[in-house]
Amino acid sequence: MAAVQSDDPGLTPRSTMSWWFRREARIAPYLYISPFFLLFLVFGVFTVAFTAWVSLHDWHIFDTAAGGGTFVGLDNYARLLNDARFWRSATNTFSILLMSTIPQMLLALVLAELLNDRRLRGPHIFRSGLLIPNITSVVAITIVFQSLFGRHYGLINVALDFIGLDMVNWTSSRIGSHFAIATMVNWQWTGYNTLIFLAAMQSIPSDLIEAARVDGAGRIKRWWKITVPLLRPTILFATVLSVIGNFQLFAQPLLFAPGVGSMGGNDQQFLTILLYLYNMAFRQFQFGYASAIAWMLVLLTAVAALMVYAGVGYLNRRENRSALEVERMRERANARQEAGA
Amino acid sequence: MRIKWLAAPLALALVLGACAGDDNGTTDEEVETEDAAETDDDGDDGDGEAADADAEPVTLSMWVFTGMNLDDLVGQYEEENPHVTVEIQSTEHGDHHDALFTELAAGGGPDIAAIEVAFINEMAEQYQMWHNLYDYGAADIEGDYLDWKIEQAQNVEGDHLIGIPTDIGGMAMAYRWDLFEEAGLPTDRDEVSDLWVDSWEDFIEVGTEYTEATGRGFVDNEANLWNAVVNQDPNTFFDADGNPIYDESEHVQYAWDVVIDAIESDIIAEVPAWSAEWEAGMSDGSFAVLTAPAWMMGYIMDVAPDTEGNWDLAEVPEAGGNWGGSHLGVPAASDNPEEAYALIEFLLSPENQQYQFTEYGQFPSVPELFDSEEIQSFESEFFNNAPVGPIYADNAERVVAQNTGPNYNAIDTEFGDGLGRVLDGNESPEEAWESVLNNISSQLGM
Repeated sequence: MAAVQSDDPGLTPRSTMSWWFRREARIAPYLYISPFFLLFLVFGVFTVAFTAWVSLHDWHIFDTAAGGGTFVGLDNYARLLNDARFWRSATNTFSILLMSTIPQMLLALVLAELLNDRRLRGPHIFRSGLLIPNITSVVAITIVFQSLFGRHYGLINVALDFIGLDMVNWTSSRIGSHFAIATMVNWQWTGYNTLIFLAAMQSIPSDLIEAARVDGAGRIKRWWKITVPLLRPTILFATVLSVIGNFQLFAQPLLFAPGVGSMGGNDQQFLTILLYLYNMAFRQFQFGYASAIAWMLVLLTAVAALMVYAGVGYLNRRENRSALEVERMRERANARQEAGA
Repeated sequence: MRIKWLAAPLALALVLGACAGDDNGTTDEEVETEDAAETDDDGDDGDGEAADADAEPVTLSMWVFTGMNLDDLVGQYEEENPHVTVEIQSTEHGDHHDALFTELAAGGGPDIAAIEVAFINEMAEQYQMWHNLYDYGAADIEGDYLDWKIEQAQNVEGDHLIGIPTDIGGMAMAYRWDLFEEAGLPTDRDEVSDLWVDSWEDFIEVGTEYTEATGRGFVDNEANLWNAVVNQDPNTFFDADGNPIYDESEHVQYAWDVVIDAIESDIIAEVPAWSAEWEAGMSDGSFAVLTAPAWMMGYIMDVAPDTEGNWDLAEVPEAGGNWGGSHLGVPAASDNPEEAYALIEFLLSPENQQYQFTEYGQFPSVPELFDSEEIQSFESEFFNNAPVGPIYADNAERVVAQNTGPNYNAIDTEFGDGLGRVLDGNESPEEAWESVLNNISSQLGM
């Protein structure tokens, strides 16, 4: 408010007051919300826009003190399109995304169904338990899993050896490293998604499920035909979050093989996009190119999220019929109730 | 009803999340603020005695990487200079340099920072980011240190010095005589030296014999072997003028062939350097030799204390080589360059470098010490009473300084990765060599 007054120093206090009273209702709301937007402007909009600006330059870290790099137009983006290592990191990211999101969602749906059982005693204990991996530090999780997936003495290889299978060199095999990293992600996030699904399941009217039961549907059929379709908006939400989160996968691959060679393995087996970006920015110090990677990452994330929406939209249209069926079932159930009464 | 039950885990999550959050912060950065408690005490003392000493109390921040072991000497300095408080931040080698570069580029930095040899050239090129130690009296002491170590830290004109040398990493071969005995190989250090001192080929032959006898790996991993061989010649990735020659250097090709030969002879234990399995391997015998620059002795003693007396030191094949060694410098952003320089001068004095050697195995960069009684008579019980003083002193006189240049460390990493791909069976040696050269040119724009 002091700022408003000083805008017009010639006014007497009295007329300032009346000026303020006349406009307060209109101005005050903007003032109330301004702290967030000011911060957002400085730390959000400015940094994002500045990254776009930097991505048009050949900008080494040491150029920063000298006032900036050399303008090169879209050269960094052209280089990106032909950078085999970048596309390898993109494929890795996508592969880990598939290996983590799909099993995670299925498992979470099953767990939520099991937990959504009235006969379950002490349900809050199980539900708290599900969240514990999620609130554990990702660094701690990765260090434990890294040791489980160890080459010579890792518990998993020892177990494989014990049952007569070949040991796997988890950091050297591309698919093996993806599996190991996806396992860490699944460990951390399955419980979180289970709780989201559980909350959504509890808002499904029980008469639908009851009606299906009366119609002779078994538990699995009720789950797959009624619960899961009705959870679709929630599944969509969770999947989009998971896709975005996976595109930003960083700590797990960084710590998976610490201290040796390049980030992401000697053959870039588990180099993710964000790890490559970090390596470019804070190891090679090529800020311009790293900024271009950042913008490409935004683009790829947006495309992936849209693909999920489109896929679910397609499913919705295709299964409109089954929604009608649900409606019909509800009517039948009502009719039966009325008849019973 | 149901919703209420969900509230409990969520509340728990929030509480635990807050704790985990703290945890996360410190682990992520891998920062240990060492002697935090001690530093606080000294700070109080400092305030009390500063009035007597008539010196302005000063706090110096110091960034080093793990394994430099400067805490004893810093503690001693703080005691002798009560007005000085030093906050040491010790970070893992790679992270330390990443953070330091970023900080310097942003115009910041601690009062004192360590620069390892792989990065010294890039830093010397950016010498304006560092205080010129000649302004604070470095000219009086530079004669104490090896010429090539001083030259590494100078700008091209030679009138701006960014750092004072710490230790050098002369090479020896650490071996487990107990495992050698098991394999029917000689155990005496002179006899072992004789087995392979003439050539790396002989070394690989001994390894093959060992692996055939025991069924275990001989040398720890391809990366450390590569380091030992490639660092034996100055003309590796750069020529003396700093031009990149990594693709045509005869010595790089030679070192590559030696490691490929070792991989194909199946003598490599496949435990990655600096991994937990590597540290365990020093005790459990998954490998029998380890290329050991002087500072590696301290590392072995640290992670494998139960193998005391089982290790010994022999000469490295084809002699010479240097791996590691650092400088301590004062970033330009420091407001206390005089105090910072005084601390560096103390920490790296000939007397204290000798202490670091006998205590932590860091071999001094001070030539007058090489022939001193203390070094010449220094034996290590841990290494089966090997005369480690004379062994490393002898080697230090043969050390040739590497030519360095921009991206030295990144180039080295690409070669190491290529050898790793051959070892893992992902590429043939020829494919790996090609992909290394391609990666260097596409990634580093060289």
